[in-house]
Amino acid sequence: MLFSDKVKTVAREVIADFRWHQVFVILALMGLSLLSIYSATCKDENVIPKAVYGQLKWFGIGLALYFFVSLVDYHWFCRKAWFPYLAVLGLLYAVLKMGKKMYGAYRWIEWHGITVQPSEFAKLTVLLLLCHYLSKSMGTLNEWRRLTIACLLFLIPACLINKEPDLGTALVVVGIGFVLLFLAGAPHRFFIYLGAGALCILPLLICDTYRYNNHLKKIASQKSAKSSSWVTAEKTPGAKPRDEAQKKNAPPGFKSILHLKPHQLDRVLVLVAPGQLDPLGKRWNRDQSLIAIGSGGLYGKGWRKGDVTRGGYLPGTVSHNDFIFAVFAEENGFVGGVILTGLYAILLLGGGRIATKAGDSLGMLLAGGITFLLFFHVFVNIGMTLGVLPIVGVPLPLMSYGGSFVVVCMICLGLLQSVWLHRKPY
Amino acid sequence: MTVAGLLLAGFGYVGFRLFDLQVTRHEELAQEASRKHEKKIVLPAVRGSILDRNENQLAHSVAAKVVAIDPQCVREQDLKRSKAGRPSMKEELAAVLSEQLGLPRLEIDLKLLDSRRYVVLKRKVLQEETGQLAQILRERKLQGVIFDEDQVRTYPNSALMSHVLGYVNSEGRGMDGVELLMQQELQGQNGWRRTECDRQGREIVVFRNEDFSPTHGYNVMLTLDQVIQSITEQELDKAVQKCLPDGAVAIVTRPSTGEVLAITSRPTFDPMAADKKIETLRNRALTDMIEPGSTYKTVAVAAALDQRIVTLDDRIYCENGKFLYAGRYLNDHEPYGMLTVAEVLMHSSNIGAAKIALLLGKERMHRAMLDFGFGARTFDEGRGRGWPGEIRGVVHPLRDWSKVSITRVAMGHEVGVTPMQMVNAIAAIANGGNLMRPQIIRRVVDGNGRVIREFFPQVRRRVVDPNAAHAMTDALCRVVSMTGTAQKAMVPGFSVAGKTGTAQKVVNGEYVHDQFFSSFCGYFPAEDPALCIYVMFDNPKGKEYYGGAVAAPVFREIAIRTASYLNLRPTQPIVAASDESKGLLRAAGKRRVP
Repeated sequence: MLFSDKVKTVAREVIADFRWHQVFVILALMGLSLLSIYSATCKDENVIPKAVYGQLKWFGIGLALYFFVSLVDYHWFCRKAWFPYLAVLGLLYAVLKMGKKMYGAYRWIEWHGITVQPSEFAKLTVLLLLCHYLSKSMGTLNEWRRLTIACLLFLIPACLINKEPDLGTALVVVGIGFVLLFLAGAPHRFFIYLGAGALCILPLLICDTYRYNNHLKKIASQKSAKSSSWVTAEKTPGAKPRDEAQKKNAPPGFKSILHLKPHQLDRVLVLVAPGQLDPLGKRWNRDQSLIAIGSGGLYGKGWRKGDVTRGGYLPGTVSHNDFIFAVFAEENGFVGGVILTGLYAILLLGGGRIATKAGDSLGMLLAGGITFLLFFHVFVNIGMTLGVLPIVGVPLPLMSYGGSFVVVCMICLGLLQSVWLHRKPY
Repeated sequence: MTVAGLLLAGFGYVGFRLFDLQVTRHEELAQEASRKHEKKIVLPAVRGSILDRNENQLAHSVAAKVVAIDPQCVREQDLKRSKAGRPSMKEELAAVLSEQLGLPRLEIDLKLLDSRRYVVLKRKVLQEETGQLAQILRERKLQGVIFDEDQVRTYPNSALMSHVLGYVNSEGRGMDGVELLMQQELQGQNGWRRTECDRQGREIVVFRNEDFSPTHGYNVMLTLDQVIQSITEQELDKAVQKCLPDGAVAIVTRPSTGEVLAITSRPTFDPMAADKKIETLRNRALTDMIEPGSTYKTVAVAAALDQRIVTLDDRIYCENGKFLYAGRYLNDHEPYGMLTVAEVLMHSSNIGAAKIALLLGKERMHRAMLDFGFGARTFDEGRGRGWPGEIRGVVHPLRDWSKVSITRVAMGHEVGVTPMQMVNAIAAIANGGNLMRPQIIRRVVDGNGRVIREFFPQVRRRVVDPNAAHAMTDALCRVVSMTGTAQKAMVPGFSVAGKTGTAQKVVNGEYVHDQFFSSFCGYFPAEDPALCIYVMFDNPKGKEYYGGAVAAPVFREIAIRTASYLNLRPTQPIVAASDESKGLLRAAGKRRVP
């Protein structure tokens, strides 16, 4: 007898209680992810791309973490949330100082050949710590002091992340914060003030966008007056004139009221004025994404037959991570897209159910926060690939290539499972 | 509940948007996608060759390249190089190109200044040269040179047979002659590869959708014989140099099959020359009509013999050279009294021919003219394709004939015929009365020698019965005799039948007395005609202008050399002949006649 009878019964109970369908959905998503990454990164017909192995490795690690986390009581994680939180803050600071620059942003930190993205872990640690803090201060949130501390807990990392710059992730963190505050029962007037503040910012954003638009037009007209394109102009004799031009495109003499970066304003512009101007192909990704998805049709083109992806029209730098949905939808069509969103729906509705059935307020907050976190990612990512939301670097959970986020997602899902399993004491 | 509602709303929206994009707007976006990156690469078919009846190459295509340059690319490379502190590529490139393509350095330098991105340096560069050039460019890492597919059409014999072969334009399409007539067979079918390209325009091999290899053009084999053609052109050229006509035509056919063995026209052109003079392009044997003159008397006499209205020995009074009919005088070049029908042809009496035609009657005369193929195109290569530019000639409808018409038509006036029609009509008499369809295309074969299409000799109709035809041959043999008008057409060793023709030219609507169409049409050996040869000069200069004096000697020279080439067995003992032809025949006799 290796195990005592008690352990056996508990194990049997856990196995019976385990939300296995969640596991199946996760495995299905992983499978689809691997197929999509394969076709997004495949260069040579007979060689399985490295990215697939990389992702497979992270899926393995993620699954191990998932089962580990789901079996451990979530209270333990939340109690210990301070340490990872502080560590992540340190890492976020370090990223700004000595991070690795990729695609024009400092988001990665390299350590012994492993690149990690601290901002991804920030989502998780902020969630955990905030849940811990809010569950302790349930019912006392009408005190301004507690509310302020709660806000600072997520706003500080959000600001650091925004510095990288990574507006998307920063918004996720802020969003989690507010959702948790709401779930924890923060006074309604707080949200009313918040809404009012947002309404104040909105006209400023509109104003900024409008001014920026005019500014671009002016520059464009000046350029055409000089009739010197960036290829031939002596000003940009660089080997990569496009990059230089893009850098220079931070239009001189323009100051945003909201201190938004030009590329961020570009993304807003792309959304509100899709056909209006396209001086340097800023709409490229969005348009190619739409073309890829639209050309997929009802049943799709078939695996590895997506020509928009394979041809590099949907740029290879984004197709396997942020735009993986476009790759998937091009090859699997509307039917595939519905199946994929259906899988996410199962996952998220399950999350909502766990939140309502949670054993305590911490469990409720945790499950609700995680469900929101995943929902935000799914919705924003798919929304941006479908061209209805501005392009922000938000990956699609379990589909996009990228180890850090896979690990974070799997821990989150493990926590959901843990909340479910530990809703009653064993 | 709120959370669930929010989730469902979110997913509902995503679903709606997905539906909108993938189902409602699918067509539009799919088109957008394929427009961007579908690419059709044409795999050019090589144009087929034209061969003579012994499979000698008359025209063939060689794959070649267009060498072009992208000056912008060169400039960008130079900018890069100057930044890296390396010497400019432009100089080196220009030097290499000028050396390899044999173009002046200045021209290349000028083209490198062009602002376009595709400037043609040289067309029709053969592949050995481009291969060498490409290798040098690779070795020295020079960029900006573009190679495109091209073809060169070469005619190994340059101007020989140029009117038959025709020529191709810069796109390689046939513009005249066989090149145009057999364009479909020659051009082949370009292959293509429909494929997808990545953003840089490179082909993605796994997305190769359709891959059709090209079907190369078929080879077209002609009935013409390169050697006979060459003989004909040489002899015609000799005569042309002597009498300096405005134009000249010579045709050699085989009466029994209608095959054309040689056909040439002067002035001529070189199909490979870039600047062809328009007046040299006409194949006068088919595109120009003449009043044939006395050669046409054969038609009237043959018809009369066929209808048994006269026999060769019937006597006809030739009015001593002046015949008043319907208020008009008709003259002979010499006054004759009583002549037999054979003698009418022998002396080429206009009055005799007119009287025979009158005996025949104008309906039967008109019928005979149409039967002999006048007033209709001679060629028909099937599927309604006639020879490019061939004309019908003019045979006036009967209702337009005046009373004198019949007397004029009988001697080859008031009628417009092409040389091809004339030789065809004479060949019908030589062929025992069967009018053959002339034939220039013999067969179409593919690259492996498999016959795709074969053309067979085709009898158009029987125009006269064999007896009449043989009687005509007898009469025409007397024309080519010491006493006939065409003694200069006599070929030693063979009995030759033929008829001269000298017609006054019409200039500005009037007959002029110093310009003539001088022609001779004959065939031999008279017993079993193997060759029918027609020679015509348009307005020969000099004292001699009669067909018997100008055209008949050319006929003889062509006949002697062709008979020798074809190994024709002489049917008569070699008697009177010029020293020159004696020598020739002796040589031939040593080799061939036992």
